[in-house]
Amino acid sequence: MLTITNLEATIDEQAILKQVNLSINPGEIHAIMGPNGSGKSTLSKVLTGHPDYDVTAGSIVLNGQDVLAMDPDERANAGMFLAFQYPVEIPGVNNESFIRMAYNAQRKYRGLSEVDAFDFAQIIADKLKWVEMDDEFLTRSVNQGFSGGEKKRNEILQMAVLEPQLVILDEIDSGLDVDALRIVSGAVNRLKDADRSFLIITHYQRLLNYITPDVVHIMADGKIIKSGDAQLALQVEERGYDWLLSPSLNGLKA
Amino acid sequence: MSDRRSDWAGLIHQASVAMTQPPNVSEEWKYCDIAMWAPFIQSNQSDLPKFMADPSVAISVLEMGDSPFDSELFRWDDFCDTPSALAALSTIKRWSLVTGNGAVQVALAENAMNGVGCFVQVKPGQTLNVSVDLRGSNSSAVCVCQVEQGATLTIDEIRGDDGVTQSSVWAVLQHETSRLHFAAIDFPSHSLVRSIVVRQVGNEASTQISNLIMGANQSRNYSHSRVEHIAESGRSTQLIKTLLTDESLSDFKGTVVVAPRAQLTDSVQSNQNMILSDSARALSRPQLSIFADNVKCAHGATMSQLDPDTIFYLQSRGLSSAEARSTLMSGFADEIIDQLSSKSFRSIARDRVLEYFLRLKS
Ligand SMILES: Nc1ncnc2c1ncn2[C@@H]1O[C@H](COP(=O)(O)OP(=O)(O)OP(=O)(O)O)[C@@H](O)[C@H]1O
Ligand SMILES: [Mg+2]
Repeated sequence: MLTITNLEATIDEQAILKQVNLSINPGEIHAIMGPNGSGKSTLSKVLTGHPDYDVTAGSIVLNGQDVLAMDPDERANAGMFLAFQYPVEIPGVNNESFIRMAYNAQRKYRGLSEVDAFDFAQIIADKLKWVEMDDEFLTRSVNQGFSGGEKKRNEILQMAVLEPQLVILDEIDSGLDVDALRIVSGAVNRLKDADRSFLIITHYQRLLNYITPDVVHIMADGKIIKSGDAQLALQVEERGYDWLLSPSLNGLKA
Repeated sequence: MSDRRSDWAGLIHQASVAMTQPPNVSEEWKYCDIAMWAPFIQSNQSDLPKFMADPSVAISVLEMGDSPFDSELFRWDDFCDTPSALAALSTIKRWSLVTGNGAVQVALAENAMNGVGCFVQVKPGQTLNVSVDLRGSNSSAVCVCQVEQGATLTIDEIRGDDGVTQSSVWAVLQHETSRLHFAAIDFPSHSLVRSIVVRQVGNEASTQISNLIMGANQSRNYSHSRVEHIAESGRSTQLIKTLLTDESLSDFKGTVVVAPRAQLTDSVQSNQNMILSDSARALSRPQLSIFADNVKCAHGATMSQLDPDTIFYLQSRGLSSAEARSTLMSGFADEIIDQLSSKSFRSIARDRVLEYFLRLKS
């Protein structure tokens, strides 16, 4: 599904990603953990084509397509979706019409006819139930005045509607109460299938109790320094990152 | 507060009531004659600015009687500090009364051209929607409003057109628990002036002013708002947005005055300027004069282009860069257009905004 090879990226000529290698097969769930500032969000934005970052080396291939040659909207239309760590507020833009625009943009890209407001209302009503959101959120402006947790649910609502091939979740669990965490994880699990892949950025093992990862990666200083199975997340929860960052020093202490 | 009948608008109120029997939702074309207010004007002439001392100018009456506020803080200049607004005022010889419960479309421009100002009176507990369409030719409009206890006045104003010069002057007096909801859209024109002054003399009054200013070519827009909190627990919200392209200019001055006894005032003023070309300019001059200590006043002005992170967000959902930009711009405009209570005004405004954006792209 996704292959990242020797990826390097800078912002304002400052190196943030340094030789990232990562490969995700269809149907797999990968988690990325790592200290603050290690480059996790940067990786998610470079994957989706944020213009502030310059890719200085490496490649990203999604289902055989050269991702780096594509605009952000082409990447979305090719099946990529990012649930943002900090979703933006868009005053004056109606939430439901926005999600419908996105839905139709992607349909158009696939050569399908656009869905009118009436039919879309039914599609989204169903997906609202996935995230247990009140339909009042559809009548408001995109994320405007939403609480932190409501913004996260709105991201998941978009994911549920767009049914992307590759879902990247950047700290979807931060700011969620226990019930919301259960609901959001439930929606992710519901979307899971043999052809769809997930890249889940998180600080907490807690989320991974709900969504079981096939592979866990640890990112530090712009690199993936260790990969393992779900056990690795438990170890991080218990021991922090120090032992991974400087194993020799840690060995001395023990 | 409600028995305060000696203030400026109270005088107009009395005069109008004496002249006309208020009909149900209609414009009453029995003109108030300035002559009957002349005694008020002459009684105090020495204190008045020269312009106001001219008894042929009916609106001078507004300055008569006991000012509900320290006269040092309320000067004629505040009311209307642009030459063309003054010029518009000086043409008014008579007043027509608009009152009732319901919705009414007022032909302010034609009135003002004939030297007629409009006096809108909303009686206690009543609700009046006034729509004003000033599009078309050069014109000016002058309107004085009194919103009595517990009453609601909603004003929709759309104006401007290619090459025209227009000015509108609004003065609104709000009594206890009254509400004013003012929404205006200014289309690209040669030059537009607006002066809106709101004075809350009754406790717990609320004021909402929303204005979208669109500039193109060499258009000039001068907008001045002044909201005076004279009584306690008043609220005011002002949102003034501009969309400016080519060499257009917007000059916004927004004054908020909070009188010493206007405790628990809650006032917000925001001026958001969207600059779409290198040569467009927005001047923003917010001004707060606060004389009470227990109040909440926030004001802010922003100058921006389209926010790149927001464009990225939309693109990351599959919208093209052009779609993302036009979605953002319409959203920016819609926030104000949605405030218009008239459905037909909303659709006129949307069409005009769309046309504006289409022109931008080419
Ligand atoms: N616009 C920018 N200008 C300069 N440095 C930046 C910019 N954006 C990100 N960085 C830097 O890049 C590094 C990686 O940031 P990133 O947001 O990817 O970290 P993260 O791993 O997601 O952290 P967190 O866990 O706190 O979300 C940080 O040191 C950050 O300061
Ligand atoms: Mg991050």
